[in-house]
Amino acid sequence: MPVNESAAAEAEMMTEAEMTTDGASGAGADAGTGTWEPRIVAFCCNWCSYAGADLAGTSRKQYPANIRIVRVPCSGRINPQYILRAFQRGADGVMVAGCHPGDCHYTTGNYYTRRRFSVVQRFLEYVGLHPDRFSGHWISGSEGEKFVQTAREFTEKVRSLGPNEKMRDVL
Amino acid sequence: MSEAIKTAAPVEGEPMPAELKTAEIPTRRGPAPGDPEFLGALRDCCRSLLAEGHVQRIIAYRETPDSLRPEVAFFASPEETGDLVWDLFCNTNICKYLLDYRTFEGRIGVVVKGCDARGVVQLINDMQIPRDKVEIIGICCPGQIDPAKVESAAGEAWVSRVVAGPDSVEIVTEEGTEMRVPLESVLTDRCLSCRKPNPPVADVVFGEDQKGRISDEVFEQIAELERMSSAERDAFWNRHFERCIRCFACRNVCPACSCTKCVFDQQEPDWLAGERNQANQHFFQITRAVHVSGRCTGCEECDRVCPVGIPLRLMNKKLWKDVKDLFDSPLPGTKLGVRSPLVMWDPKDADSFE
Ligand code: SF4
Ligand code: SF4
Ligand code: SF4
Ligand code: FES
Repeated sequence: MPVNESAAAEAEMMTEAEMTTDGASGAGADAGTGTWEPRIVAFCCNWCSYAGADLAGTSRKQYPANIRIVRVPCSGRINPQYILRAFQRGADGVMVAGCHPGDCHYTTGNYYTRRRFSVVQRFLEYVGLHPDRFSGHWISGSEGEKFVQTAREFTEKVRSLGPNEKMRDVL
Repeated sequence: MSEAIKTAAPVEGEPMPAELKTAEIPTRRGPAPGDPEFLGALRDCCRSLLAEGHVQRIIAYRETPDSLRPEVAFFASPEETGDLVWDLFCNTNICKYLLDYRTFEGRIGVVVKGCDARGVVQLINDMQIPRDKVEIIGICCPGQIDPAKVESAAGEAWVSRVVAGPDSVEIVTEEGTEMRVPLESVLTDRCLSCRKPNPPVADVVFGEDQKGRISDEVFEQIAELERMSSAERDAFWNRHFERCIRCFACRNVCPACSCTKCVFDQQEPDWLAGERNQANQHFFQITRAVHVSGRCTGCEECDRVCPVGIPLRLMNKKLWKDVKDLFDSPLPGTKLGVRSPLVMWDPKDADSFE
């Protein structure tokens, strides 16, 4: 499995332009050739989950390079449209991660996220997205290990499902 | 968890302006639809509201040469109210026209059924129009008739008029033949499962409270979809989504879609591209449904106007079911001063994060 020791550095490169255009690269969607690797977009809040990923990187814990982090100021900044866009532009799975309840840097952002996320998660499942392709996690800045574990487990689940075609722009 | 949050009561985003919380104005009652006095009384009411300067416009319905299809009309003077009608073919939900009067200086009267009235209340709760700018003329609705169902009951013959009774309707054709069919066989689909036919808020009410019809059909269909596999659900929705011509009628009529700049009209960023591929079709459908969740009044007007018959109610009601289960909030539009459950939170909310 390809690994990425400095995910934080890579995430820094991820711009909104890359997110909204078909700029995805790295792990490929090369189904059928036997080299397919799942592409996973993780929306991480700056203050906790992104710091958690950073900690994993600096303490040289390895997590799958399939994960492409998009850093957002707070999990409350994650518009459901971002999630749809990620799937449209080729994500095989999408993760949303923020500070634990009560720990949001902006006090209440993640409480709003939690309500929105609960509704969107059930709805995506209802319109036919496989439930294992989308998940939410509370990861604090000191939980580098949890980030690594979550990233691994999620990647493996998505890998076992194969490439996502639902909502995908170019198949 | 910080101390400040632990002690906070369930928090609403911002407090509701005080004037929305004031008690309702006592309502006056008029005769019920079906009563021979009804139409005269409704016209008198509208006429005097205009004549006495209580309102400067009334949004209601007017006869057309097709007796099954009255049109929405805007009455500006008492003299015009002579051809105002309200019968069982006033299917159009007129609440959304209120937004054309955002900058109008004056009050507007709206003649509304239960479902339309929820739309008016939702527009007020979403702060799109102030409560005191609207005179709500409510009608306890006995159910509306679907012209297409009448026409198919009449077969080849042209329908000239329909006389509705409490349980059955008489269809009179151009040739003068008459036939009688049960009311339920020609009611619109949404009326067949309408639990709230009475305006929840009104200044004048016509008729006594109706019981409505309790059918769980929509929720049974939703449960059936929920039991399917992801792949089956994917196929089901794909079949519907690919037919959407993106006319945006569903958005334009919707009392929960009140954004002055809709995301689907934006150029920068261009959230919704023009090409009708499955990605864009999904983006449109999912985004519209999610945007109205927690504010959708269940009026099913979107479903009624969709020219290609996409079962939008199966999405809207699914979202409503989940919102209700998760956050235990009242049906949007049934109470003044209620904020969307999605702009509120509670530390005890169900947690689907891992
Ligand atoms: S679809 Fe969304 S953005 Fe457009 S009007 Fe409705 S709520 Fe507003
Ligand atoms: S989404 Fe449809 S059912 Fe819901 S309020 Fe809008 S028009 Fe009515
Ligand atoms: S009314 Fe129907 S066809 Fe038109 S945009 Fe809405 S879902 Fe699509
Ligand atoms: S800052 Fe992390 S969830 Fe708000």
